[in-house]
Amino acid sequence: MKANLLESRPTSLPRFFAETVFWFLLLVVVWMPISPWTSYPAGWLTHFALEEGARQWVRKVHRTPQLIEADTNIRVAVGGKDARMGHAELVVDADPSRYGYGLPLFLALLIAARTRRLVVRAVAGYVLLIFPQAFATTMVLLRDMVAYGSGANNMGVAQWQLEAIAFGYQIGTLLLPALAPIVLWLWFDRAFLAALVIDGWLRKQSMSQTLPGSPASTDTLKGQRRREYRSSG
Amino acid sequence: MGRFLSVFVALLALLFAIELTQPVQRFVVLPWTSGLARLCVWLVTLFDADVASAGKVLWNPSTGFGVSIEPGCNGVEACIVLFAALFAYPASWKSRAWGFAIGFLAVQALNVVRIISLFYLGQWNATAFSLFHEYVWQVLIMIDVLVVWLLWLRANAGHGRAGASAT
Repeated sequence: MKANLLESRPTSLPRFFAETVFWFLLLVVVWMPISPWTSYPAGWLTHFALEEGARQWVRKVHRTPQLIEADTNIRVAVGGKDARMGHAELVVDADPSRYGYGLPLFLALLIAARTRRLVVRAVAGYVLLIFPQAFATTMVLLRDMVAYGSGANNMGVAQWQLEAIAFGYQIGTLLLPALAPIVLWLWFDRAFLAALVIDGWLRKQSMSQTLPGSPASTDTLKGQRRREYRSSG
Repeated sequence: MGRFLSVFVALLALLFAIELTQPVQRFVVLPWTSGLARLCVWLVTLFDADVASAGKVLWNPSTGFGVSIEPGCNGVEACIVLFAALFAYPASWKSRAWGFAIGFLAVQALNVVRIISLFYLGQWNATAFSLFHEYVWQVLIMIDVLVVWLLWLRANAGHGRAGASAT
């Protein structure tokens, strides 16, 4: 282990979480004005996914940093119950940055955990988080096509495909934006988890050794913990 | 770690699919969400009489402002994530059950704070409401899940292959 984790890591879990929340609140304020640009690659990926994956519905995709708009060939009724009811083609839009708040959370976790090679991991995390963000944006647009379109029969999709879109929409919008950065951070910083487990194990050892009749040597335990931390990185 | 992530993702997908089925929505999620709205009203009326609930909507009869507790705001998804994380990790069933019971309370308690805070934020400032509704609270609830899971992980260190799996 190159660095002593006891010195560089946050000393307690409550402190780690407090720092995570602090950094997240700070970073989300910084991120909001620039989010249209940090989300641009996700918009590009959504554009590609729609044009390649939903070709039967999508005529053209327009993209700006703040908005992705898809012109579809899905015909929707206009005029309600009016006898002279006409038809129009559906246009759906979504803002990719709406699902990009995982980036400030990911950076907050990296900073609060004092992750080594922070810049490299931050850049790698940013690139990887583009995928769940693009997935969420794509699913929002597909859900809107299905919801505002003329239904499954008219759109030529089976019931199971509708269910898959609903499932993907829920996963993409409710889970992935906040969960993906946490999973990614846990993967990138496995040493943090290992140190945590070792810390818990040492606490138990310490408690069992301080039972009456078996006085523990605090210095010995500290030395043991330091060695374990060193070997865990 | 690889095994944990595989089981975690599989459990998450399975539980999420179950949650979206009509019977579970009708008999579990909607009653739960309505109960949550009533609990929030009861708590708010302890210090503010100007609040009412109708189904899953918490509203102020004087101003007409209301918040509807939609999927993602009822804490069910966060509890699913917690459940999957606890049950994907090697530990005893008893320890997992305790972890989930305590975690469920922790997540739902924070979620009640989220709903009540959004109810007041919305009446105060639309921009602040959007910021907290769309970004801040989503993340805080997920951090709450992480807090419970990491504390549980530390408390369970030394059980089974926990130490080995984390490295």
